[in-house]
Amino acid sequence: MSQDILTAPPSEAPAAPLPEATAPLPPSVVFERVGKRFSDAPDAAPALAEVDLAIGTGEIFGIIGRSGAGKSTLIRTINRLERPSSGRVLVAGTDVGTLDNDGLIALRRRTGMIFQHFNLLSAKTVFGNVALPLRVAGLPRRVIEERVRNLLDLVGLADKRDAYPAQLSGGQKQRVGIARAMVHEPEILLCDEATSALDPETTQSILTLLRDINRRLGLTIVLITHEMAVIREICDRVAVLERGRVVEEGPVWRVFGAPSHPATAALLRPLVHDLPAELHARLQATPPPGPHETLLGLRYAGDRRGDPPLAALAATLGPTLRLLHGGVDRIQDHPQGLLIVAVELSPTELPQRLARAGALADRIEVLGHVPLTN
Amino acid sequence: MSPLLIERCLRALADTLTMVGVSCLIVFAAGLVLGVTLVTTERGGLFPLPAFNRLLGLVINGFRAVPFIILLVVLLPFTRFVVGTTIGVWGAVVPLSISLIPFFARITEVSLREVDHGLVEAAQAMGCRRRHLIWHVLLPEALPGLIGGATIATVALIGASAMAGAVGAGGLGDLAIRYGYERYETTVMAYVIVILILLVSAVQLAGDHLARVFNRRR
Repeated sequence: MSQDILTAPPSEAPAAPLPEATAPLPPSVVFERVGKRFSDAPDAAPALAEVDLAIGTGEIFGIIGRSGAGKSTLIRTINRLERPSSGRVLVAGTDVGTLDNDGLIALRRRTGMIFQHFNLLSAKTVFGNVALPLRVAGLPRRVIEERVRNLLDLVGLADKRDAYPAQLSGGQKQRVGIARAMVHEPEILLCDEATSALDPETTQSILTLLRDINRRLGLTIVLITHEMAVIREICDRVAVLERGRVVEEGPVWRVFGAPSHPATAALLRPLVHDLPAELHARLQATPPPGPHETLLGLRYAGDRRGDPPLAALAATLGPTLRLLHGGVDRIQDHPQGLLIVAVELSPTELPQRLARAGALADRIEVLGHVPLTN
Repeated sequence: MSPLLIERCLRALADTLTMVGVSCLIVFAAGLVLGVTLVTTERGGLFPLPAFNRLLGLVINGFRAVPFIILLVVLLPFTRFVVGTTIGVWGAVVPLSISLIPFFARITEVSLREVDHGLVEAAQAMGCRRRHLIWHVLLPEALPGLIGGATIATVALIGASAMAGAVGAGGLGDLAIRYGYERYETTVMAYVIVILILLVSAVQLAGDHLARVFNRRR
């Protein structure tokens, strides 16, 4: 239907892939006191406030927060789909706020983006969708053919070349989205809730693909999500965003092992509660008046040696101790142990017992109370 | 039916097809341009010009408010200026087009607004310029809606063309009024009605078929 209507000057050709990561690389994306207000009203809460972050070249950086925390706004300031109201965003050292239209388009071609709802053009085939960024950049047909073919091979969709998006599954659509985002050989890939619309299995395969791309091409990946599991799976570092502010930041294993902010703990909760659904449904936040069990989560983070001393636990917490769940996760090769136990203690007894048990775990958390019925 | 009448029917059909066909081309082209302009110049659009946008909206509403038969008369000087005559098929094409362009512009506007904003955002993120957004995203994604709208506009044109007899343009409507009504030739009336029904059905079928072919959303 359409011809190439733009002939790109050579300067718009995509940059070569970055060299292999060695010593500390310069940061790829830097946020400097970034703020954003959508409303002019002075009392309206800002969408972003004083965000300072540096994202290293070649790392997978996660930004997590509840919906409405400002994640989407923050990631969109990187390719200027949103303009900050204050502060600066630097990409490879360049303030994106100062770019003119051509500079902005060049930046966006070096910055791929994938979306929660894929945002594929329904009127174009898989090939047409992946080829579009190259066609609008005016690359020759032969180059487009070859690059699209290679990318469809990379994402495992070579046989779907002539299918329309409506004929694909969610995971396949996101693979097309990834191929389209990669077609200009970008230095940065932005992932906006890229797996939130996918089932767990498909999420896993997309995350594997993203990590593979990151390792093979040395690409910087910035991803936002509300799922801790996604962060745990592939991120190197994470920032927790709460009401537009960064409340916690660091290597994933450290933030997960010892969350210091309530928002982080709240986000972690669905991950640690590997409780039977039946028990989970009966869990109460406050102790019921009658006989009840209290559920405790004991965490063993990071580099602690040795197993949790079960006998000592039983001696401290009393003979009613029951083990509900135990497991060790490895996050970025740091073991993260979790023990969930139930103990039948009165609300007066509980605090002193907990205090005495404190030395037996890195952290003890009261998960809730379950009334005993008989 | 006499051979003379058959000939008149065919002649009228040819006139109607000419008027509708030519007007369609003009209406689609101009309506599309105006519709795209309406969507892209609004506040927050691709080429924001809010004041111009409001003015354009007012003009379009103004033309849409005037009934066709009155527009026909009001536009007489303009028609003479453009095609050199105010009567006959060409004298009817000008007011027909002008009456349907604002209608199709609004239909285009609605279809373009239906396009998911996420697609526009994705296209911006991949480095599309604004003209690429219109050409590669807005128009192709709105195509099924545009085809449906074009079908409605064509049927409306066929209806409006029946009034073109008022400027001596002939056509099926004119035939039905002069023979069927004024001369009490009920058979002529019946024939014209059957031909119109067939014509409208054919347009609708073709439009539905095209819309289906170009709809890749399912």
